[in-house]
Amino acid sequence: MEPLIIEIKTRGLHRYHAFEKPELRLGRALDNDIILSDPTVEPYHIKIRRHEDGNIELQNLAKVNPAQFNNQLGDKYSTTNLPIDIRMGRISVSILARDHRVTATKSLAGNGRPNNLFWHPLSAVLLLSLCVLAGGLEFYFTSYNALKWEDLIKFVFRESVLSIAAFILILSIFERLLVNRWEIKLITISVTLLYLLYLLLSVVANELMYLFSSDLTTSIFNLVWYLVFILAAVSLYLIRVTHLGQRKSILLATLISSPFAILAIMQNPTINTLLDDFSSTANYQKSLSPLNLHLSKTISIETFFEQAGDLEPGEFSD
Amino acid sequence: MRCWDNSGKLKANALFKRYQIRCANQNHVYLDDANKFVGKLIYEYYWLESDALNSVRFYNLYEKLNKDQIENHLSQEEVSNFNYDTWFVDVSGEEFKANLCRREYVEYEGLSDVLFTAALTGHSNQGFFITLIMTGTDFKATLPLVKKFLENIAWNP
Repeated sequence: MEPLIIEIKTRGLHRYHAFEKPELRLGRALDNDIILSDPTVEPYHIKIRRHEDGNIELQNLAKVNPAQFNNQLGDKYSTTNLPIDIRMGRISVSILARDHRVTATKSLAGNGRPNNLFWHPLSAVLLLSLCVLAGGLEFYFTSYNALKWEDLIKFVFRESVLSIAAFILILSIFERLLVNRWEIKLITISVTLLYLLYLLLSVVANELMYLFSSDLTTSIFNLVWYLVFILAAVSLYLIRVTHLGQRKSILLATLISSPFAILAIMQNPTINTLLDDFSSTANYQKSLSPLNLHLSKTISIETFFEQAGDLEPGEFSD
Repeated sequence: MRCWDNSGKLKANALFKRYQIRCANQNHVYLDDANKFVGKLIYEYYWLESDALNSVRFYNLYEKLNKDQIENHLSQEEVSNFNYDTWFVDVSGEEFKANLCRREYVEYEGLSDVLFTAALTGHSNQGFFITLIMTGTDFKATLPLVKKFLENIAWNP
């Protein structure tokens, strides 16, 4: 008889056993052919018998958490068709033919090439250093007093190091729970790249706000960043690095990014205005830029006086 | 109107200088116990300069200081939201980014609070704000005063 394969599914790598004997018993007791150490599995849970005519007979031995064969409960189940899915407590097992097709091989992030950004551990160190440098630059450009090293170190530690470390920790925990692996290097590279991109795009968004004389650009940037960009980045990470299925990845990415997206929506002044939210402060256009690039024409005092007269009254909230 | 130096004391290690003059009338008009007082007229000149800050650092500070507000916190039962518009205005050969904001009183038709701000642009290490606040007034009637303020600014480098 051609041997069959018993596949035991786990969060990490699945276990495979060749099924060569005519009869096999699975359970938690140590005298079984295949031992499953899960507490929801009975000491003797199922027995599998193979017949010469190709028929496979399955027998449930469990009283607690009785086995399900192809999603059906019953003490006996018999079939010639493979694969057969078996549920034993929390454990999922499949009986497969030896020529059962395996899924296509997934390439490593960056195709596993040693010169790729995602491959070399030095990339993570380099990007982390860039983030620390960016944090230092942020402190320099937003401080108006003589620089103090103590203040600089505190700022960089609080704004860059702690934020990045928190994101790496959260994503690592997620990955450990999902696929039972730690990909610290890849998570570090992904988080630091996103952090640097965010800093860069924030600067661009501020300049655009001045260019268009409108807060709408930063509102759009914040919404697009959390609703689209973070969602796409986490989905891509889960699909390309963690190798989860596409649908599952998008669902998980939505779950991970939704708290940030909800916060961004709630704090967005444009959406608050649309929702008829009242504000006792004047949210006028406060942006100023050393580049002084703006699309609005510079007008005379007379023209300003004429146009200012057309300013509509403020809207009352309900 | 009374005017005073509103500059406040800077830290010893500050890399910039600021000069702030604020003027306000003292006779506010009692409207009712809900709307408290109106008839406020405040104007302010704010000069900012620095030789030590580069233009990026200077403008980060300049933008941070651009935050004037009308300081009576009324509720939506009393006033509308602010409406505003922004212009770039040529004043005495210099460009100013000007914002004009207005809000209306729910129970007093024709009464508005007006906030006007203008910030000098195009100088890498010099900044100048003008702020004009008027509460409980006719919006159209405030505009000639705003105009007069702008027309009387002269640039003396």
